[in-house]
Amino acid sequence: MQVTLQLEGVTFRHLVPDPHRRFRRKLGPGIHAIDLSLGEGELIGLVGRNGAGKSTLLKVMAGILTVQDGRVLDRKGTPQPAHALRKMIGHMPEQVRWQGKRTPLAMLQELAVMDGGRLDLVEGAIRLVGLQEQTMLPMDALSQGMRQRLTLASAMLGSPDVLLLDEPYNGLDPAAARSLTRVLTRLASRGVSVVISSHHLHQLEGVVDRLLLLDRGRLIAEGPADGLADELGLERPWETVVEGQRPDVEAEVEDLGQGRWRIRGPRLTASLMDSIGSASVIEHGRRKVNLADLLDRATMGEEE
Amino acid sequence: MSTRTVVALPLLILAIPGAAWGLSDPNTTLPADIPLDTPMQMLFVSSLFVLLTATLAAVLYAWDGVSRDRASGVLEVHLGRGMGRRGQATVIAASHLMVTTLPVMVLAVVAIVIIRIRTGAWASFGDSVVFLGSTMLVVTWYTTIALLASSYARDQGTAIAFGVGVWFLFTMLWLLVTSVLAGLAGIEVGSTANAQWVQFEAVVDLLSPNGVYHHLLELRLENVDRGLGAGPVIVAAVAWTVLPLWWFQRRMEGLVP
Repeated sequence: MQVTLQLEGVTFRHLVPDPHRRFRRKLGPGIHAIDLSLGEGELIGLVGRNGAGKSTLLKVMAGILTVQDGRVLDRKGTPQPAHALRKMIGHMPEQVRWQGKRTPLAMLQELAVMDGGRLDLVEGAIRLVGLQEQTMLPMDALSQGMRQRLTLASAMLGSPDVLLLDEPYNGLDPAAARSLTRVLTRLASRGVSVVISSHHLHQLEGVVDRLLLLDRGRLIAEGPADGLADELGLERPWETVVEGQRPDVEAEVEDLGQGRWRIRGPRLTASLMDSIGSASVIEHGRRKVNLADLLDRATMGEEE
Repeated sequence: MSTRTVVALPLLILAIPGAAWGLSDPNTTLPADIPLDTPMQMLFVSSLFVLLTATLAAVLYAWDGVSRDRASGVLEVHLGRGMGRRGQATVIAASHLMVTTLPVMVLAVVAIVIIRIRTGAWASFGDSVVFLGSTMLVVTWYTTIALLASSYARDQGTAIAFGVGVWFLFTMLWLLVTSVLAGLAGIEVGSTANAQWVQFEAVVDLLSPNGVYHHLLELRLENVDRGLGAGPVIVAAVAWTVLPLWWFQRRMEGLVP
């Protein structure tokens, strides 16, 4: 897979007040020695607890913060300074509170000019996020969901190769969240590398190709959710969903309502089929990875 | 029209053309026999009103020039664009300068015209250029200082405290600061007949944007000599123009949103 962005040993630490020396500052928390690469068209989930360094990592990748150690390489493997990264990467910060009497259209046009004057891209970005009806409203009149879409549109201006989204699902209702996921999936299918940092782990389940687990500024695990679960020894029993009469099996059976039952534990074998009897099998497979459990297991390992 | 303009514009109109109107009245007399014989003398006295209103207007427009966008997250969006940070700093400064200097300059020209109408005499070309140029400069200095303060403030309350505090220091408290420094230096304070005090005050005024503004205007007054030549005054004016702007650009380059 073609790599669009690569980080080698990237470190950035924020300056914080020094409690022992008045008016002085010292290096505080941040990200340490991060090595990772983003593939073309990959959808990547960046997860971690509060204060893990997710936003800092995204800002460093976006060229908003300058790397203190290590380097960021483009698709050709050439190290890029911060100002060059900003031209190839779209960044959606967390919770931007757009305000004032200006319209989304005017704001996006201003941002397009700041990117080098590609005003023709503004309409496309507006259409992609579904803000056509709101382009001429004052920003004060936008709902939280509309503001999120405006921020997303601002990140997509300039058709970036890499899109970095910090908590994009905040403030979105379920329908808007699904719509956002569809947009991001479509962008990934066009070759854009998309990194989503989110606390809404259920939104990432089944959507992302790969996970990056961050804890205390370090990348502690990386890979597809299923692989990580196995690697971390997360229990994922077999689950069979049947419809019909309650199956008479020596395993945990959960009533899902409407005549459906979930059997946990045994694989679907001939003897299990006999035990199920006349009930029909709707679904069978290993339990889906719960990202919250994954994160807890990964960070528990780090604490030990 | 923005709320800030609704607040600032009447004050500017009252102060700048209003002061010119009042000072160009032949029946007007000022305490301490301050002369009002020539248009430049009238413009010089009206500059007090410029310092009270135009500089406050500059702070009013610029105090949240960076802090508001920083608090809302919009600054992070801007800093993520392809445009360099130095360029963004220049645009922020230029846009805020235009908002304040344009109305002030228009009203300053109106003041010159009012004096002409009321007294029958135009301020000379040189006097007009120095008055307009100096007025534009002092508004520039306050705008840049307010933006610089705004870039350091982490919340809106701190931003306005910085902005108004700086204005208050240079507009209301500077004489007190000068007096304290003179006292510490063993110089008798307050008497204009005391050459040592006059020269000391002139030097300390170079450290204040209001002081430099008045120094520039005094270059066009014949009967004023505070012991400083044009050289130090022009150097101070250049420093007040360049240094805060340079500092603001450096600040924006390193700002973490």
